[in-house]
Amino acid sequence: MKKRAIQELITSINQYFDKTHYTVNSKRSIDSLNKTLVDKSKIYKENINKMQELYSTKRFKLIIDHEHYELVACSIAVKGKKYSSFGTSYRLLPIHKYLKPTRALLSHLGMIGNTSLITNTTNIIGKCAEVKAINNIFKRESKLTVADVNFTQAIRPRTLEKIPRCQNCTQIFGNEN
Amino acid sequence: MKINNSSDFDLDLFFRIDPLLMHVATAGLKVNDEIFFNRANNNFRNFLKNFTQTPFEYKLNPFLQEIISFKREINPNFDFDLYTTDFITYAQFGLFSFDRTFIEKNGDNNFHLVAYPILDESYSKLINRINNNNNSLDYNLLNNDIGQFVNNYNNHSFRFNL
Repeated sequence: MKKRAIQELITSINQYFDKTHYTVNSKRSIDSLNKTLVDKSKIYKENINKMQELYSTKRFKLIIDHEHYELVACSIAVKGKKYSSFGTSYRLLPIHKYLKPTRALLSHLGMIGNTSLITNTTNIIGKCAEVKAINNIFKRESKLTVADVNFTQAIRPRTLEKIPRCQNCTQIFGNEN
Repeated sequence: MKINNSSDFDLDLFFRIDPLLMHVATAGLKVNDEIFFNRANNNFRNFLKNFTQTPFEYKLNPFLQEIISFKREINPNFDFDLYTTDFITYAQFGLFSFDRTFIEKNGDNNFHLVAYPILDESYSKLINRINNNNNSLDYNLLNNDIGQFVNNYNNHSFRFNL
């Protein structure tokens, strides 16, 4: 496989599972969204596996950063009034990419990029998949409140097991149903 | 400057306790820079995935159901087969495959064994390929020791300082 084909594969993997997926079907149930998340995670994992088999610095002399061929630790989907979105644990966004409503939510915990002083978790504020997912929703539905959104369960793409909500997210979004 | 964002990922890390090979899935654990920025882990995974040999038979940790029973409390629909798939794949490559036990606890570094291989003569081939030499291993003796170890350890937990 040529370098260009690998780059295309990488792009498709990241776009497919990435943080910018929207659906407009307002009748969609949270269960249906959950199934989509699981399906997307399976395909994402297959693609990452394929990438890991192909990628070799020796063969292709192609330097690719970690994020393009390692599995993310956590993924989630969220449903707003009209739109749905996905989020993953991958990276802290640049500060300007956190929209105003997201920043307002996170301000209860402390500064984005630091650990929270009001919870015991060492999770970094703004890095959770939940935050990335709701930040995407706010791009389309900026007036949503926390009561208007429903999260699927957070899952680990490697094993598709459920990951319990962290203390930071519980503080902002409440306990899981 | 490169940022160590290892806690974003579920990394595959590899190490060896001669002559055995180990695989560890980090599940969002923050690992140190030396490990995270080292390409050796990726290169070794690439080598394994492209190394053609008959898959090893494998066994699951006899205590696995007990160790991860709390996952059923978190999610009653927890799928045991889906959970073990990746670790079995690494056991079939000839590696002892470990997973992080409490993935919801950010910095917890307790790991448990999920799957391990039953070694046969092709293990010598794998090790020799890695070592670039031609020695032969007594896999019967090794399997015996491994069986005793796996069935007798009561603590279930290994702590890896990554």
